[in-house]
Amino acid sequence: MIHAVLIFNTSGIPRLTKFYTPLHQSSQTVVQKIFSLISVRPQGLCNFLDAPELEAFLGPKDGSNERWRVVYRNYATLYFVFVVDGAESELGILDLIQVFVEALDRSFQNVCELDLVFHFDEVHHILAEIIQGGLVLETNVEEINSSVQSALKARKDSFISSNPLALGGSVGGSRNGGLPTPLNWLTDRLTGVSGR
Amino acid sequence: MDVSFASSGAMSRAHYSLVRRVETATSVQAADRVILDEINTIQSTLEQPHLSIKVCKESLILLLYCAMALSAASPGDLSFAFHHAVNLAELGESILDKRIGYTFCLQMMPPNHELHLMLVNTLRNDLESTSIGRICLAMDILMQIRNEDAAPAVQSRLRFFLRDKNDSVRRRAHMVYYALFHQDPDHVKRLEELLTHAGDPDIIPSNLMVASKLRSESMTRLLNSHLHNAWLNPKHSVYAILRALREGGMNLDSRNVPLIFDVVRHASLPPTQALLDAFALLSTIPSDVITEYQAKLSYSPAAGIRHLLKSSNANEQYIFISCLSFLDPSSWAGDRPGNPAVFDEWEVQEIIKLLNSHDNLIRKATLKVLYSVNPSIVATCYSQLTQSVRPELSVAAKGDCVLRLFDVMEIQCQEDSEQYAKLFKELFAIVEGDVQGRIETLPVLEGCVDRVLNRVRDADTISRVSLVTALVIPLIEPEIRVGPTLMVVICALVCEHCAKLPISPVEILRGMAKRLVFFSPSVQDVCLLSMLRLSAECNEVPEEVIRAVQELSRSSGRYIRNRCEQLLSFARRRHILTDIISRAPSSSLPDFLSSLTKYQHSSADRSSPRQPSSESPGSLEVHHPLSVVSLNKLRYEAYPTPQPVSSLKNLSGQRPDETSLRGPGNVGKGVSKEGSTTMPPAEPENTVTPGELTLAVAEHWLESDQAAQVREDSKTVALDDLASRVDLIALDSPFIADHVDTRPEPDFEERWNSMQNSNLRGWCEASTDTILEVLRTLQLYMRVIAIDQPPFEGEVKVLVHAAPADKYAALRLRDRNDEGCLWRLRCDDLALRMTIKRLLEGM
Repeated sequence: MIHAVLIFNTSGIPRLTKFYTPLHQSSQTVVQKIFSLISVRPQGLCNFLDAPELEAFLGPKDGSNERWRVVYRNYATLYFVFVVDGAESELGILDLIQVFVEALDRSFQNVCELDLVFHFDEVHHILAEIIQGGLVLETNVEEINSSVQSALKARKDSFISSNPLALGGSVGGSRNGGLPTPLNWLTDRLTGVSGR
Repeated sequence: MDVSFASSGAMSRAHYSLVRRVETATSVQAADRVILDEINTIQSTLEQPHLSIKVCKESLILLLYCAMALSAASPGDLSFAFHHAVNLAELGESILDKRIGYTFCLQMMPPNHELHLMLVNTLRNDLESTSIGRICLAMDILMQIRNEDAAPAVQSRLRFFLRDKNDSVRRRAHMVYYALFHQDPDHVKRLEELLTHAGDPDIIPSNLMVASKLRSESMTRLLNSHLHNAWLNPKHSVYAILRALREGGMNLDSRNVPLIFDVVRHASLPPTQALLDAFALLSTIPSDVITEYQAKLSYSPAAGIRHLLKSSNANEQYIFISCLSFLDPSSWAGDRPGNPAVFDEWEVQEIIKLLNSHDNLIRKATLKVLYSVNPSIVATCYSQLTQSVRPELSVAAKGDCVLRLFDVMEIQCQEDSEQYAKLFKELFAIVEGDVQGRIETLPVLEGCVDRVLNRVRDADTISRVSLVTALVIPLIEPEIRVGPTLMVVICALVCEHCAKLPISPVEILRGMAKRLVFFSPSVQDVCLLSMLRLSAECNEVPEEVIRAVQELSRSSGRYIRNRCEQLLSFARRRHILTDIISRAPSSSLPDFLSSLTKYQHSSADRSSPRQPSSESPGSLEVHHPLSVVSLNKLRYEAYPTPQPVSSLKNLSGQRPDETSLRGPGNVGKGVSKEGSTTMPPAEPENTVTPGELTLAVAEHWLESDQAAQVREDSKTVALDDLASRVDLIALDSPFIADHVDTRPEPDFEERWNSMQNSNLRGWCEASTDTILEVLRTLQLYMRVIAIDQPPFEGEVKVLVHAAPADKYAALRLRDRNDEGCLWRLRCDDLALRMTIKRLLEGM
C-alpha cells in the first residue's frame, strides 16, 4: 500500500503532502524527517531506502517482511517521494512517480515548481486520478490525462458561462510563461529507472 | 519568486499576494507568521454572512495551502471552516467546487467530527445523482473517508454500481466496496463472485488490485488462470496480473513458470517492475520445479539478468541482487550436481564486490544472497571488517564500519537473540577494546546505539528480556571493560527494562558507579540518569554508590555536578521518583528524562510559599509530587491581587502570589526574604532550556536540603541578601507586572535587524544563567527568549528595554557548556550599549 505521497523542493519546502494513513506526529515533522533522510544521500545511490525511522511517525509495521520504504525521484528542484510498505514493488513505485510527473506535465504543459505552488489543488486532483486511499487506481497516462482534461474543460465551461466577456485561457493553470526550471521529465523517461 | 500575477496562474490577487509573501519570507519563522496571519484573515472572511460560493471556495483553497505550507507552527483549530467546506461539497455548482469542499473535509476534519454525518448525506445525494462525474467524485471520497456511518449509508447504492456499464463507475465501485466492506465475509464473497465472473476484458488495474487485496484461494486461482490465458493479451495486462499476484502475496501456479521465464527474458532490458514481480513469484515455486523447467527449457532466469551486474547504475545493481535473492541458490550457484553454475568466476567476484557498495540496501541484499549460498563467505567478510576497525579511524568511518559489522551480525543471527548478544559482546570487545585507546577518549557510536535499541525493541517479549540480560551482564563483572557506546546502550536498556531483569538493581548500580569516572561527561550524564531511574528499584542505594557519585560531583563541571546532586537528592525520596516514573509516557530513557524535566518545571512554577523560619534548620523542604499538590494544602491563603503602587522600590509587606508576577518583564526570582530565612539561589525564568531548568531546580533543591549549612556560610548569606534585594525590586512591584502585561511584545528579530550598525561581540567566562542574573541588576524591562525558541535557535536571546528613553538592546548568548559564553550585542543607544558591554566584560 502507498502510505504517503509527498512533493518537496530541494530546500525541504513542501509542495504537496498527501497521507493515506493516520499520522502519529504532525505532517511537518514527517516531511522534515523524510527530507533529512533523502537530502543527505549522495548521487549514485539507488532511489529506494529502508526507513525504520518512520515507525515513530507512521506507526510500527507488523511482520518481518513489512517495513517502511521510501521511494523517491528528483526532478529539477523537486523531490517526488512515495512512502510505501513491503507489499509494493520499488520499481513499480518508481514507474508510478514517472506516471504522476507525466500527468502533471501534460496538465500544466512543461510543469515547474511554481505550477505546484499556485495550483496545488489541481495537483491533488491529478493525484486522485492515480491513487485513491493508498491504492493505485490508474497507471495509464492517457486515461489520467483524459480525466483531468475533462475536469478542466468543465471548469473552463463553468467560468466562461459565468464570465461571458472574459478572455479565454485565463483559467485552468496551463501556461508557458518561461517560469522556473521545468522538471525535465522527458530525459528521465528515456533513461528508464536511472533517473535521479 | 520572479513571476507576475498575470503569468502566475494564481486564482486571485489575494492568493498571489499570499504565495509571494510566503515564498519571499526571509526565514521559516517569518513565513509561518505570514501564514498564521493569513489564517486569521480567512477566518474573519468566513465569519461574514452571505458568502458566495466563489469566496468560500477560494478561502478553503487558501486554507489548505496555509495548512500545508506551515513549516514549524501548527495551523491551530480550523473548525471555523468545516461547515463552509461541507456546504461547498453540498451546494457547489461544478464538480470542481464540490471537490474542493470534499478535499478540505478529508484533509482537515477529524474522523469523528459531528459534521461527518452531513458529509455522508451529501455523498449519498451525489451517488443518487445522474451525473457520472458526481458519482465518481463521491466514490473517490468514499475511498478515503474514515467514518463508520458511511458504509451503511451507501451500501445499497454501491451494490447497484458494482454492475454498472460505465467502466469508470464500475471500477471505482469495486474499490469502494472493498475499502468499506473488506472485513465482512459476506461482502467479500460477493466481490469475489463479481470478479470471478467479470471475465478477461476486465483485466484492469483497479480490479486486479481489489483481487490481490482479497488474498483468497479463489482469487489466486482466478489470477493464475488469467495469467495462463494471457499469452495473447497485451504485455501490460500480463504485467498487471503479475503485480497483483505479487502484491497479494499469492502463490504462482507452476504451469505458469514458462510464462515467467518469458517475462524475465523480455522485461530485463531495460529492467521493469515486471522483472522484480516475476522473480518474487518464482520464489513461491519449489526449487526442484524451477530446476526441472530450467533443464527442460534450457534457460535460467538468473542468466536473464546477468547483464545488470555490469551496470554502474545503483538501481540496476539493486534490482539484480534483489532478483537473485528470490531464487534458491541451488538453481544458479552450481552447488548441486546436475545444476551447473550460472555465473562465471568474474561475475561472482562482481557480486562479492557489491558487499562494498556505497548503498546500504545493496550491501544488505548482497549479504543475504551470499549467506544463502555459503555462510562462510559472510564469516570471512566479518573477520575482514573487524580487522579494519582501527584506532586511527575517524568517528564517522568507525561508526560506518561497525554498522556494516552489525549488518553481517544480523544476517548471521537471524532471530537468535542469544547468538546476537554473544556476537555483540565479542564485537564490542574489539571496537572498544584496549587496543582502541583509553575509555575516556573513545567516541559514542550513535548509529550503533540506535541499531541495538531497535533490535531489542523488535524482539518478542521473552527474547527481549534475555537479550537485555545478556547485554547487561558485563556491567556487574568488574574485570570486563565497558566502553562508552556499550555503556550508553546498557544505560538505555536498563532504564527501560530494569523492572523485568533477573539481575539485582543494586548490582547494576554498583557496576555503573564503579565505571562512572572513566567516561566523558556526556556518557556520565546518561549513566547518572539511568542510575537515578534504577534507584527507584532499590530499597536503599548502597553507600559506595553514593560515595562514587559524590566524588564525581567534586571533580566535575557544573552540568554533571547538578546531575549528581539530583541523583543524591532523589535517592532519599523514592516516592517522588516513583511518581515521576509513573508519569512518563513510556519506560524509555528519553521519556523518563522528559517526565523528570516536566516535574521540575511544574515544581519551579508552583506558587507554594517558603517555609517559615520556625521550621527546624535541618529539615528538608518538602517537594510534593504533582498528584499531592493542591491549593488546600498550601500553608498560606492566596494573596490578594497586588495593587499598583507608585514607587518601584516600594516593598510590600506580603509577597505577591507568583502567578500574578508572570509576564515578559518578570525576570527575577520568585522568592522574598522573610525574617531570617536564608534565600535559596536563583531560579531563572523564561531564560533557559528545559535541561538547564532541570539543573537549576535541582540546584535549588540541593540548596534547600542543605539550608542549615548554608546559613553558616556568611559569604553565601551575603550573596543571597543581594540577590533577594534585586528580586524584590524586580518582582515585588505589581506596577511592573501590570505595566508589562498590557504592552505588546516587541519582536526580537525585528529589533535585532534594525540595529545592524551598532554591533558588539565578545567572550565571557560565565554561563548564560550568570549573565542573565547580572543583567537583571540593571532593573530594566527584559524579555528573555529561551534557547529552543525562534529566532536564532541555539542561543538565548535577551531584549532589554530602557523604558523612559524607549531604547532597546538586543543580546544573543551562545553557551559553550562549562567554558563560557559568546555574546553579541546590538544597541543604537551608546549609553545603554556601553553599560551592558561593561557588565559583560567585567564578568
